[in-house]
Amino acid sequence: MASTESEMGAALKNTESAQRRLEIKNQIWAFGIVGFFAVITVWSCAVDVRYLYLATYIWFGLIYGMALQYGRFCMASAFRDLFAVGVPRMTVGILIALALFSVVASVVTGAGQSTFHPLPYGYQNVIGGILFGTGMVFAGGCASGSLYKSGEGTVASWIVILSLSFSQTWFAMAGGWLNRLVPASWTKSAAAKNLPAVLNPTNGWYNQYLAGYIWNLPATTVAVLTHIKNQFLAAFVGDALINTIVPAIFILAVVYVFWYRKSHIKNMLKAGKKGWRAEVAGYWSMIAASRRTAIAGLIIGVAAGLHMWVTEGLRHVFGVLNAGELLQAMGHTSGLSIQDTVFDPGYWYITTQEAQWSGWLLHVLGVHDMRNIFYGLQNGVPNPLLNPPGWMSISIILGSSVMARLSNEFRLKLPSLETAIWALIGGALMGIGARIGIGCNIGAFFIPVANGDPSGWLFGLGLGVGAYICVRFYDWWINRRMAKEDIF
Amino acid sequence: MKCHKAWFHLPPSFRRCWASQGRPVADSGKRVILPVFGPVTVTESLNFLGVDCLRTNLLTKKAMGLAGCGDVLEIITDNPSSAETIPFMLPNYGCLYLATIHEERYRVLYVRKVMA
Repeated sequence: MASTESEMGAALKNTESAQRRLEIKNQIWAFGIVGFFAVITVWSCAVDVRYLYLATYIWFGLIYGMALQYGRFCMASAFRDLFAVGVPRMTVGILIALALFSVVASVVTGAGQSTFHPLPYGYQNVIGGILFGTGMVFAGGCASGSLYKSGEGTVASWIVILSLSFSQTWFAMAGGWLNRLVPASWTKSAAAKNLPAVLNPTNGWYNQYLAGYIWNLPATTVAVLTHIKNQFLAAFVGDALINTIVPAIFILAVVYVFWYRKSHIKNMLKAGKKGWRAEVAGYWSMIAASRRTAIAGLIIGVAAGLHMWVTEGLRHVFGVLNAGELLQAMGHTSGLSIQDTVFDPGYWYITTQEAQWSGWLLHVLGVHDMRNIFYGLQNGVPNPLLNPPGWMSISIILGSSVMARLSNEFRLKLPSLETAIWALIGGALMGIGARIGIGCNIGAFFIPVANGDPSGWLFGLGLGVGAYICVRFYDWWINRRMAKEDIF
Repeated sequence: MKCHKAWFHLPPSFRRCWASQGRPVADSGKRVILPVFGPVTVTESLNFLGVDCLRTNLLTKKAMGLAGCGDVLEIITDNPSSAETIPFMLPNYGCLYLATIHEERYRVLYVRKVMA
């Protein structure tokens, strides 16, 4: 007996010591990553101070990555958990984050330091959202979720990013049979724009979609629609209050009534409480359950606002409107668009930079992928080492890795074959959805909504519909597999 | 006690790869000692290593729906998001959260069905 106890004690000590070793290893990794970015920043700025523009994206990306991992900030999870298992935790957290970010964004807009441009609104927001929403549930993570999960060591998310990247490039370049699906009005409108022939404006589905349809659509923010003269007041009332906070409170109430109230009221009745006090307590407990995501949302909100402010400030200091001008001035002309620009949103954005990675790779391999509007006119295919938003995505992954390492949650997780296939399919749907919706769950939903652009809600509606369809499909699929394989 | 693998049609190489990463699936009728609830006997063990969050959550939901009153489910997952969502699912399916054990590469959740 004594021997068994001593053996157990020794085993426990070994486990504790292994745990401590793992913690130290993780801390070294975490500080190593931060040190890596610090060295890059100092070295590049010593070479040319204009690299500070690129470093800005890196450091804000690092903050986003850490906050995303801490809050498990994933919109796929938000919709999926609600529809699949009736858990509103992530939905509530993201809505709170949205409301908080809108306040920060309104201050930045009010100060005239916003880099945000509203997106065109139309049915494409909903269609893109549906495709993206379906894809993100298949993939097991949205665009931002896949980045942070990649940093946690989830190999399936790496597959999602690859698929998202290449599907966008394919979609931006595809012609052939897809040309047959282009309405004549788009072709006519695209031709009327008199774009350089090298861009093939009347060839390729996406070319004609952009030049013949998207560019003709209106875009606005609620602040503009309110006609309030004071910039601060317009941004706060229009963009934050009307476009974000009031709808967020309303959606929270709907979520409370349909998904939370039932279980909460049961507990309240057991405790002998009822009436409006019980309802308010229930509403609050639903919000409190999402504290971690809300804290992450607050950090992201403040960081995203500051990101816009700092980028706008640097553009002013360097006298440029786009990172392409800086790259050209520093002698990096390869991969610039015909306007000498590159993709440079000036705020938190995901998907286009991933498309640029595969675009650049194909370009290096000799594929003429600049002969279209998406790359050739708008975004370019810069070297990933000189791509500011590309660095932001890399630092989101590594920022998440830092957080995962510090909380001992980093694990290299191989997917099952089936999960890998779903990741591939989901990533492709997300890529196509992002191109149609002109953004992802961040660039077409989170950022636009918080900045007063109503098109974001249309994309959000599509995300919800897509996620619902996918959850129902997945449920059916699993039932079918379970019946076949006699599981349970 | 039955034990279920939640992946399908994996090539043997993949399974071997996993075998080195995940722990072996629980033995029949395993008794575990949980921090607050003390010793419990596991009725079903669900291995979700390498499985995405949606499938983990959906299969857990189905298992909870099919469990009998008093059954204890052991859920093995390496997905932190699912590990945090599952405790919030339980009240909807008449289950009680018992504990989460943090292993080196995954987490093990224990839940008990308390209402039919």
